[in-house]
Amino acid sequence: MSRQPDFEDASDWKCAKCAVPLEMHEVEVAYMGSKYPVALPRCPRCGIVFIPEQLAVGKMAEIERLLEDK
Amino acid sequence: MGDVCKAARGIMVEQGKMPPSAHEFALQDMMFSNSDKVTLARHQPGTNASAYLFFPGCQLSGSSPEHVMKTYAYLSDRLQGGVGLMLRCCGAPAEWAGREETVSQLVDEFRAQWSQMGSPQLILACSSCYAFFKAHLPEAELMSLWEVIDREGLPSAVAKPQLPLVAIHDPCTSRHETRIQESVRRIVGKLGYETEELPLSRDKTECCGFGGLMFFANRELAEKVIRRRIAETPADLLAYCAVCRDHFSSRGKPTWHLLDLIFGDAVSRNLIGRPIDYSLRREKRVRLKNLCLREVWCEDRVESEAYHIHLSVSEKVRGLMEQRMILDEDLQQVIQWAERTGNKLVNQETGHSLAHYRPGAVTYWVEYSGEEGGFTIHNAYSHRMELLEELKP
Amino acid sequence: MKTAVHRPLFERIADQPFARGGIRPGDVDLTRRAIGLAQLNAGCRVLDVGCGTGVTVEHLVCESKIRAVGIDLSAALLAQGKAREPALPLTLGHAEALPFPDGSFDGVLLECTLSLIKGHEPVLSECNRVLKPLGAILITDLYSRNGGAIDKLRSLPVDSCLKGAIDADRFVDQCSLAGFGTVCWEDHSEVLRDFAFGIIWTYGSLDRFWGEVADNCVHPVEIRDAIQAARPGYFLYVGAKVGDRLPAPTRSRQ
Repeated sequence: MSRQPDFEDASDWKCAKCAVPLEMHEVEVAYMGSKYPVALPRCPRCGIVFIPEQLAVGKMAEIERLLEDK
Repeated sequence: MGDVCKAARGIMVEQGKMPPSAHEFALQDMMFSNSDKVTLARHQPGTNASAYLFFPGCQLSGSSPEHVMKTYAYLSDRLQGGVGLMLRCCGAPAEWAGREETVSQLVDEFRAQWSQMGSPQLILACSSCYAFFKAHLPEAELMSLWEVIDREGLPSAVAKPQLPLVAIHDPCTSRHETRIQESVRRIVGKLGYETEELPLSRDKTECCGFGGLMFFANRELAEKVIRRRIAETPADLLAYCAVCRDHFSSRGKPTWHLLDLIFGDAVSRNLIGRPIDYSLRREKRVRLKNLCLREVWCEDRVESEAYHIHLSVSEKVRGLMEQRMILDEDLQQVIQWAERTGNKLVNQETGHSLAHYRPGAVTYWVEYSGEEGGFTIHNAYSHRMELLEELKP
Repeated sequence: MKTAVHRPLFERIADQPFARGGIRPGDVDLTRRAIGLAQLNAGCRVLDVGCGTGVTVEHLVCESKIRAVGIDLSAALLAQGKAREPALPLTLGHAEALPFPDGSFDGVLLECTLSLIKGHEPVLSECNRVLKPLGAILITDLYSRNGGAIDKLRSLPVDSCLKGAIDADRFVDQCSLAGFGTVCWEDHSEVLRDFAFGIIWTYGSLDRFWGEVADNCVHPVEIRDAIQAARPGYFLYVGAKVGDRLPAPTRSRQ
């Protein structure tokens, strides 16, 4: 069951400040009073996170619609 | 009926029995409208006293900010003694949700700012704000925007939308304000439109689903109420409340706002069939404040520097941006922040930068290359969810 | 795609990180609220029917010092629970035949359990039996906010709490017949949002989730339409044992 194609392009991106590759890490996302821990590629030094386009316009948009609808 | 529901809610809130979910969203929206990113209180440029204070209300600001600008320009031009501008939410949602303590707090906050500005006469574009201040700020002089326009006269002749007939929809909170209702009708008459008086209008007017936060507490009932109202006439509706206009438009019913007709633009045209987009409303309020400070008060802020950033956008990306409702100014703010702080990602192969920033209620992501002279935009996307990142410097 | 061993949906969801707190929307906060409303406190004996991996039992014992025990029909989930914490008082069994004497408990808890069981009467009846007089029954579960469309849910191809979402109109009557008086009923539909968040994040979209879990090739759109029509919500019910269950007219417990 392929659920990690979300981040196949994560390796293309590096943190510009720290010049290190990104690592998967738990980050909290919040919307409309709901907080949720998710695994996202993140710079281990400064904490900058990577969200690929597909994730933003796909899953995240669907969750946002769902939360707005309830 | 509204008073009965409100009293019941007050009791439920006091007893801790009110489930928070029902009104939470509306209250969060209200708090956003009263946050630093949105609020503004200024005397007319070049003055330090205000005889009048234009209070457009959070809904008009979030729905047609261009009308707020035009109206402010009109009032500044017509009235003497200084017309100040205040961008804020009066607190009506808190009242509707039965949160008495919050209401008191908001009224106190407003009163403090208002007295500091010289206790100017309030010019209110929204009937709900009017009702709220009438109830909670008895010491203030209130005027509805429509009474002012009726008295001062229409702006110079503009090409108005050609309409055979409009049916006037009075907002629920104007129910007992006959002077306002009359002013509206006189303005419409002066504009030369033929009107239809719906059987249920004026004091018998029907709800659009927003008053009392029905839309949030019982969506199904609100939908029914909207559908019922728009079916009452084949004619276009004419509202003078931004939310009424938005609710009816979202269901596909051509609904004008009185300011469309007064200024001869067709802002409401673009809203037909568009669902209510709360994040976009918040974005518009933030942009309105930025626009006012930049263009009207010419204030030099960090954010305003962003507007000088030159962007090069291909047609393809332009199309994406339009589809995703991302503006140049959103990209500029991301790039400004990223370049200033160095917080961005860099692509191994292409050397492009990818940065993100949340100026208001939406996080924008931009893939770009270039430098201070000019940045080329390769991609842009956004999301409303907030990333609780905890960046380390 | 048929799996070799057909595992119930709730077991498969239990594997997912978002369900780590237990497969019940509302998480520990809703449990706390229920316990508070029922005025159950330290030393009380509480039975968690459908305890799964025992997350609630553990919470009640550790946080509230409640003497909680759990029962579930899934050996797999119980095993997971015991692997996590061997001392957990969890036992294998069926809600229709609770292996406890009459009047053993101050409270009985059913979190997202009733909707997984087809006939409620025997379960409610058993819960009544094992409760002391005026003992509390705490039920949190899915219900259909649009009762008229409930048959759409019943015809879903996936055995799940969604399919068994409670018919609110009949529910309180069923509880009365089982000897319970209503202490309160609260809507907590907002907790479904968090749950849905987890599902979408893990599976990509609700449609894909339904596509994966409904192994027969029913179009996820049908499922989505059923959900939209029936408008699932989440409720919390607290009842008090005010009498013995009314004897069933045609059946009787031997």
